[in-house]
Order: sequence, then C-alpha cells, then structure tokens
Amino acid sequence: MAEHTLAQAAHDAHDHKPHGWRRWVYATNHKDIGTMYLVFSGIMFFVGGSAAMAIRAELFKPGLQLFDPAFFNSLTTMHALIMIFGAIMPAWTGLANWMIPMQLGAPDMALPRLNNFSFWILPFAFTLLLATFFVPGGAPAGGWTMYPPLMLQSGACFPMTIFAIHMMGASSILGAINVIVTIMNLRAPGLTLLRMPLFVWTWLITAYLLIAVMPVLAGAVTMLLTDHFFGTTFFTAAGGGDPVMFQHIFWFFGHPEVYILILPAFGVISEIVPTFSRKPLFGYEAMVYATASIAFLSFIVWAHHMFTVGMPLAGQLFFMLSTMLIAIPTGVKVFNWTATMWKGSLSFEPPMLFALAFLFLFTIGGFSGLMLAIVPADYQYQDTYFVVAHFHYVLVSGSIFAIMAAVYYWLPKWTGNMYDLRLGKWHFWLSAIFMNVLFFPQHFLGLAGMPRRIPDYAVQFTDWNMVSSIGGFAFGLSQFLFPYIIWKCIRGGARVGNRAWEGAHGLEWELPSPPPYHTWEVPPAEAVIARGAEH
Amino acid sequence: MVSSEDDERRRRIRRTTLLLALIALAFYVGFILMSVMRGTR
Repeated sequence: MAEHTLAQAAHDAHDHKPHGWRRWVYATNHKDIGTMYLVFSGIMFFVGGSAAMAIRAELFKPGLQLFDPAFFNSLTTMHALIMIFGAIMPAWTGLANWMIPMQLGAPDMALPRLNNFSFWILPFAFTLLLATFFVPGGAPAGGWTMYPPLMLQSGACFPMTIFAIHMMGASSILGAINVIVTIMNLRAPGLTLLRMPLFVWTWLITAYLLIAVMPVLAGAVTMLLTDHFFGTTFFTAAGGGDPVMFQHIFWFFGHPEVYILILPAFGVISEIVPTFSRKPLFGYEAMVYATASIAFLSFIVWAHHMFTVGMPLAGQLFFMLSTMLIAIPTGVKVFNWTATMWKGSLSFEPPMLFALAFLFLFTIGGFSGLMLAIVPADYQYQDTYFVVAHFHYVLVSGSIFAIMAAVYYWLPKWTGNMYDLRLGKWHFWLSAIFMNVLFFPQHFLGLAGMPRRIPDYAVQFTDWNMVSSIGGFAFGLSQFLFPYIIWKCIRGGARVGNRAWEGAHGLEWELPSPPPYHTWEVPPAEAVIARGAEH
Repeated sequence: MVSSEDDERRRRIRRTTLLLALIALAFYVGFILMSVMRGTR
C-alpha cells in the first residue's frame, strides 16, 4: 500500500488534468464521464418528474382540467421514455463509470474514447426526443411501448422518436461493451471473478443483457420506420403483417430491460447492507448465481406482458410459470440481505435507510408482480392502475431508491467530504413516506377497475386519486433536497478518510477521498486486494 | 516503452470489443431477418 501511495503521489505531481470545457467535451477519464452521466441523469430525472407532476395535476380530480387528452398521452409516453432511458439507465452507467475501475484496481475503463462517445450521444438523443413537443402533432403519445398501428399514426414526431431511440440504444450498447471489456481485461492481478464486488458482478450481467436486447429494440423500431416510410408491412395487418409480432419483439427486449434497470440496484444493496451491518455479505456466491439466474429467466418470460392479447393455453401456462420462477432467485437475494443484517451491528445512515426501504418496498413490487403473473388474475388487472402501482414500486422504490442509496454511499468517497446526514435522513423519510402515499392507493384504484393512460376517470376513483396526487407533489418537492445535499457536500463538509464508512470493504475504500484524477495506475498489491475482497 | 504483456492485453481488448459488437449486430440483423422470413411464409 505504501508503495502504491508513493507511486500515486509521484504521478499526481505531474497529473495533467484538462481544464475548462475541454475537460468535459473531450473527457476520457472515467470519473469525469461518470460525473457527466450522473449530472445528465439528474437533469432528466427532474424533466421526467415534471411530466409526472403534470400527470398527477390532471388526475387530481375527474374531468379535464389542464390538458387535452392527446397532450396527456404525450406526457405519459415521454415520462416513461425519459425516466427509463434518460434517468435510470444513465445513472447506472454513471455509477459504473465511477466505481467499476476503482473497484477492480484498474486505471480507467478499457475504451476511454468510446466511453466519451457513448455519453455524448445521449444529450443529442434527448434533445431530439424533447424537441418532439414542438413539432406538428406533438410528442409521441402511443405509450413507451410504441405499439403499432397506433405508433404508425404519429405525426412529425415519429422519425425523431425512432432516431432518438436508435441513438439511446447505440449509447447503451457501447457502454455495455466497455463495461464487459473492462471487467474481463483490466482486473487487478489476483482479483478473480469470484472475488469481485457484487456491484461489478451485477453490472457485468446487466451489460450482457444490454448487448442481447438493445439491438432487438433497435430492430423493432427500424421495422416500424420501414413500415411507415418504405412501404413494408411487418406490423401492418392490411399488408399481411402482424401487429402482435411487434409486441412479442418489443417485450423480448422490454422484460430484460426491467432487469437492466434493477440488477445494478441489487449490486448496490449488496454493497451497502454489509457495510452498515458491519458483517460480510451472507451467501456471496449464491448472490452471483441468483443474479445470473434472474438474467437468464428474464429472456423467457416476455409474453406475460401480453396475456390478454391472446395466445394458446400452453403459452399462457409456460409464461406464467416461468415468471413465477423468478421469485426463487429473487427470494434468495432478499433472504441473504436479511441474513446479512441478522445479529449485525446496524446503523442507519442515509444509504442504509434507502437500502432498507428498497428491501421492503421492492419486495411489495415483486409480490404484486407475482399477482400479475397469474393469467386469470391478469385478465382483471391488465391495463389498470394496479399495473402502474406495481412497476412504480419496482422502479421508484427499487431502482431510484437504490441509485440514491448508491450516491449517498459513495458521495463522501467522490468528494472527500461527508454530506449533511441530517438532511439526508430528511430526504429519505420524505421520499419513503410520500412514495407510498403516491403509489399505494394506485393498487386500490387498479383493483377497482380504473384504467391507465387516461386523463379523465369515473367519479368513484376521485378520493384515492387526490391522495395519490398529494403524495406525488410532496414526493416531487422533496426531491429538490437531493441536488441541494450533493451541492452542499461538493462545496465542503467534514473531511473523511479513505474509508468513509467504518464497515466498508472494497478496493475503492483503499484510495484517498477524494480519489486522485488517475487511480490505480499501479495495480493494488495482493494484500490490498485481500483486504478489499472480504465479502 | 510498451511491454509485450500490455500489447497482448490491447489485442485481447480489441478482440473482445469486436466480438461483442458482432454479437449485438447479429441480434439486430437476426431479429429483422426473422421478421422478413415470417412475412414471406
């Protein structure tokens, strides 16, 4: 370690960090690119969130208040596209950029220029997507699933949306290639695959999922494009095509996509729970195999999104049972996190609070997912607010809470300062309470039959919609604490040592806080790896 | 001064990158071809 520190210090003495706009536009440093991804994701989180606020404002009471129905449909579509592709996915890529090289003892990502390109595609993609609000016909309104024939009836937004999705897909694929190549080739000597931190493992598996399914989405939207402009009839019944085939292809991408959004969260929780339990992770290898099993199963469950479209009984049974199988590896994970905490010396700093909320609330989302997997029950729930409640429990209290937990966990490492823990706890409690006020009533609305994707509703749904909207506004407002806490932490705070959290293990905690611009140019010694790899 | 180990690592990185890019391309082209074949049946 001493040798490493000396070598690092010698290097830092002539550490030529680019300055001004060049540092960001020509960035090849994994930490700079990670920061850009995270900032981009934060902006998109608030843009997508403002669409959500508008949706909840319209749904505050029955009748049409603020928007015409077409614009309302645009808001729901854009909210989903922005949150999935603009907020959650880039946040995970940002965290991967920051943490994977530091956790592997690697000096940077394997393909730094490609890394730069992957990031800089995104602002163009989202400028194009957001610009659709201003073209004749407005933004896409057919839902993020873009089902034909509805999507084919879009106005000028159609080619812009398709191109934006192609760009987002390219960015994700290039990012995934970079992650895999880095993990397979730049691990410090002695850091074998089964000694890697769980965050790296879950990202490795996520990256394989990305490479397998993002091109499928690209293929589907390319065919939509040719149907619209070049006279093909892949999905047009009038020409012998099959609109249902689009749904199959889309969900072959769409279901693994859900796991792309959640697997890195499993990795983060597996880092945080042991740290704040001051115990090694229970069942490290089981966690790795469970993650791989979930990834495999995600490829054979897609048609559970389409039960009501019509399919043979054998198909329904297969997709119902394969979906239910996912509960087994997921249960292994929840069990292992709980067992990690068992008899641990727990403390409840913001990362642990978010991780615990994840554990409870993601499990609720998992249970409602099991309910949706039951074919006859799904006929009742399909296209109701029950589905909306289900996937928001998975994506908000799952992915987004885990992203917040990760930021609160690693922020002291990135900045060298401890953030305001009291404000962090305020942020947590407001988020956790109002997230439930926002989404839990939507289960009741769905079970009572309220359809999703509508700007108006029958009067019997009024009360729970009002509660949901109040929860939504409060949840939205409380999120402004998050950038404020980060900004305050960047500007100053109590200095932290290498190991910002007492119970933290991993190579990143062997580096100074904040880490120098270039890290691990000299690979860590075996003793350092051994200390870091205590799972 | 580039050691042969670094050189070998660079080659490995290039090979893995190309392989993964080809896999992605195969999924893209494969699904479109599958749809074409289904349409011509």
